[in-house]
Amino acid sequence: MRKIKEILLNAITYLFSGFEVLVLGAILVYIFSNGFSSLSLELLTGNYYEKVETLEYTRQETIKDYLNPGLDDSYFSSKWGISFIDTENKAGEKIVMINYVDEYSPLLSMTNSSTKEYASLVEKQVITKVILEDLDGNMYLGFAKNGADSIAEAFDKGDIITNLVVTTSGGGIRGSLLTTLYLILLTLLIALPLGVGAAIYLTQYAPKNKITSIMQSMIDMTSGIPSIIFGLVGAIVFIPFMNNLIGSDGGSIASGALTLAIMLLPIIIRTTEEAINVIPTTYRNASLALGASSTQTTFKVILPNALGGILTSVLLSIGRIIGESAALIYAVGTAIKDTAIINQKSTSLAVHIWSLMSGESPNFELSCAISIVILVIVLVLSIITKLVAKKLNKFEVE
Amino acid sequence: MGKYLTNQINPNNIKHRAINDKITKAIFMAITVLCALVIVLIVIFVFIKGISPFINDYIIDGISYRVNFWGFLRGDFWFQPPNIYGAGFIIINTMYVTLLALLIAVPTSVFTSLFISKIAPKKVGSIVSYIVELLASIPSIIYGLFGVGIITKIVKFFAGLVNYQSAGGISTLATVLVLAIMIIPTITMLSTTSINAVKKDIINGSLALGASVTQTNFKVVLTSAKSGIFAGVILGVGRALGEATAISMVAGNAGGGPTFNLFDTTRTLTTTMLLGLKETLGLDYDIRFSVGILLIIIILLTNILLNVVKRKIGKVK
Repeated sequence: MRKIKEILLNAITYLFSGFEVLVLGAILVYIFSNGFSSLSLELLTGNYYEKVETLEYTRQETIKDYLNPGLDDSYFSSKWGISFIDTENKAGEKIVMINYVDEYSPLLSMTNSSTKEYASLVEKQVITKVILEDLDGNMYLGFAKNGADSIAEAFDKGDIITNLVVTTSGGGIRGSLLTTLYLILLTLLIALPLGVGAAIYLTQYAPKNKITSIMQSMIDMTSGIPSIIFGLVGAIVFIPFMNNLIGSDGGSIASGALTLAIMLLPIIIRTTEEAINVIPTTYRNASLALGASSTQTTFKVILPNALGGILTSVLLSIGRIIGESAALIYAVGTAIKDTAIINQKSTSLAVHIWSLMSGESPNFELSCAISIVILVIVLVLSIITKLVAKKLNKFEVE
Repeated sequence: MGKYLTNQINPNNIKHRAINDKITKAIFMAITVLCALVIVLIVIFVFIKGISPFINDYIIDGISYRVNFWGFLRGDFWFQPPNIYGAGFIIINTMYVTLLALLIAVPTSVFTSLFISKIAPKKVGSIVSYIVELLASIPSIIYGLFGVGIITKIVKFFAGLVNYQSAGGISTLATVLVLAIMIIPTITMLSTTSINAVKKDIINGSLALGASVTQTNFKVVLTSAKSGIFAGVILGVGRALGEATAISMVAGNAGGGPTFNLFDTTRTLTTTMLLGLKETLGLDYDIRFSVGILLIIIILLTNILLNVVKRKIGKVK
């Protein structure tokens, strides 16, 4: 009877552990099965918003005969060195896509008709309409609805492109990726000196009295504040502050970085303190006995030896910044951007997911693809943290 | 060498260095004071903004309004135009959801940590332990995504079994499940640490008295580690109360309440603050800071309460 009961109890622990394994498995399977297909280099480097441009090419050059790369099902214009293919977009509409541009093709140096800026055709862009003229002034039209062959034919006949409507597809996350990077750099730039400084004071200089312990527990309490409250503070303190300082309009990457910085202070202080505390006191005493001043000891003995702990705190902070969403929704905003400019609104990767999911029609595929990116970064960070901890805790002698 | 030494012993230089040290110390102290004051500033700023709906006039369509404070504390409807806000039911919902999440998370975490450190073969234990660490490092937005994609579907299926029309699975139950999944790793990690820290003597003593290994694990080890387990629970409660993005994706922001039916939509303090955030001016924006005050107070009170309880049960007799 007792045996059965014991087996049952042990089985329960297996069951509950199995549940946790199952949860991780389910999350991974769900994220990967939905997002893996849209994972590509274009996702990371592409714009989020679809861009429609009207381009022209009016210079006249001696036309070369470009070599046909001979791609399957494509139509090649040997006069311009470009190849087209018939395909379908996600909505199932027929489109004509560029699938090859010769590296010497004049199409790499076109002009935007409205802004007169330099533009070039690249692979994967979609052509809707093209109007060309030959030297005698005859017009040749190519429309996507007539297929890739009609466009290639029009290209082959004309000498000047007067109107070319080209669409660069969206759905990329370059802006959010850059924003996340900026946030990490700016936040650490602000938080690291403050956090390490406070840790040095608390471990090296602070007298052991009531005030010190109150300050210590105040810092500890800060870590118990939920991130959304930090977001509120960012919204009412840092956004107006940054508006005055760098002329931003509403939330900006800078205000987000300040918010994240005060949020991460407790982690950085705690981790650095732990690293300093394991440095043997003999190091410090030896340095002082050799005649070094306390400032010299701090910067030349204590800091270098605490480097591992500081690095750990940096890694932990990066993980937190990448995953943070609630604070940034308030302190920066939820407008997805293709460029990351410090005094403007933008979204980090996590907030990008939030924006995609809180809209009218949630985009699960892209959200899951971004989640994969986040998960991979978080996983790599956790592995590096483990390695750093193993390599650098030379004082941990038991 | 001699010159260098005289330079070091030079009284002027020593004085100079002493001043240097004082300046360095002062700078570090200023930084520390600044870091410690962050929490005070947070509370002050959120309070100033948060009490503004109750003491200042807001002009809506040409008529000035302010919000009734007691009505706000007791209300069972979030918003009745133009100026009646109620958060009483939201507080109850938040507590209810957190409590249910704990009911799932605490047993799961405690048994898993016992499995990791005492019952499982070493290799399996370390693998499970690593899985728990991974779960802890997954950002909340991904849990939210998982909640919308999978958990709401499961809830919808169960609601269908009992013939209940749920809002596509967006419900109290989905919120509870997402919260539970999110706080399990936190509690598990702390419990594992405290179970590992149980002294070998206690375990050996129990075994020597004739108790079986399983009896020792469940009766002696868990009892000795309960203080650490409770610390994990406190951390988990904090995380559950403060979690915002993930649960706002599955809670559904019910207009009124409180909601006790598991298949109905709910609304917690954090989801109220996050959802429908469009304007950054006016009453509807400022009232979110009032909800923020409530959140801070609730977290503070729960923390104090739980710490008192921890001190009471923490003593191993």
